[in-house]
Amino acid sequence: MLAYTMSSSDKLKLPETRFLTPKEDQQLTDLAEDIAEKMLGPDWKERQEQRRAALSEESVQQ
Amino acid sequence: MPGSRDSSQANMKRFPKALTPSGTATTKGLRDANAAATHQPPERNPCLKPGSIDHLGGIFPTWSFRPQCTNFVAARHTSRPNAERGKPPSKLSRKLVKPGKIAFVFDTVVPIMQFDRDKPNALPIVYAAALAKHFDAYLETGVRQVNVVSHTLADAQTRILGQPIFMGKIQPGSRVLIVDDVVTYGSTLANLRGWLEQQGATVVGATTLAAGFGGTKLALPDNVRDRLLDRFPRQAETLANQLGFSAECFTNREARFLTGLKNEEEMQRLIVAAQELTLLQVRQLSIGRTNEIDPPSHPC
Repeated sequence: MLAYTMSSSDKLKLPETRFLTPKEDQQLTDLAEDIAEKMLGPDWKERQEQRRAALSEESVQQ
Repeated sequence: MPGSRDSSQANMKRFPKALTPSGTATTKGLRDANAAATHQPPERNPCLKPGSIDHLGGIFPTWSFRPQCTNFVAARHTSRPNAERGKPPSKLSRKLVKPGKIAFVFDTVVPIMQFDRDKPNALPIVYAAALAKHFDAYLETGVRQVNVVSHTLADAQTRILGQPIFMGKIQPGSRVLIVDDVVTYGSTLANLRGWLEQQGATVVGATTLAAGFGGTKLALPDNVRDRLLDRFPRQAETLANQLGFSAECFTNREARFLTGLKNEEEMQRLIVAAQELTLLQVRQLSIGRTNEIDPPSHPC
């Protein structure tokens, strides 16, 4: 088995981590909507809502 | 319950048999099956722990993972820059999407929506949109990774410590296909699965454009789990708890890395680092750096 080696220092260097800013969160939303509109068509949101309603109804029936 | 390993729990951790793939391998068959899909109520899984932000995680069933191409084709593909900028429909998605290989019954596609360093990663979204279009499935864009931890070229300990955190709602009862660009250690897929199933959705599979060596075997095999817990009986559970789940929930590659650590000191250093990171993230949250992002709900 391979033996993995780690840093020789006593303390590990923590990975850089941060939370999304509201601006970045909006960027993600805009990107996703842009891609969806181009790939699924301009009316994708309406169709998605219809599908979601159908899924929800199906879930309730079961 | 973290720390407990009785046989009943060991059985519970396995993926419910009710979710075994239907075997509908063809596109037409899959579409028909999707149309006729019946919802199976999700079973509780000890790897899907509700709770604080650090209580996320889960195992991923080996059978439900089907990479769509040979390793790292996406990384070499000349269309990648366009796809990364979100220029759909890209040649990349058209060439790599092989829906016939996805033999699951699903009604919702959830891409990994994340920032990679300082820019949003468009690849999973483009791929997910292509799949949603092909299978006439719902494209869920409201669930996203809210912490930014660059995993590209990261080493194993960074990947294990920097667990992705997800927020955003999913329709309970949805049968979900998770979509990402690359799988390496499986932490992102496992954590998103945990987040979605905690809300009552059922993750039936995952697909990526490329996979690192050994990355597609996500579920933790019994022998690897036993080896890990034999080597580090207390520390493995402590580390897992610190990361937000139980030792049973490490992915295959995470567990293999931990099993290969030289000694207890190395494991202890990981635990200390995980504790520090958790504190750091809680502090970041508490001082409101996520201003307009709702904190995760706690069903329990």
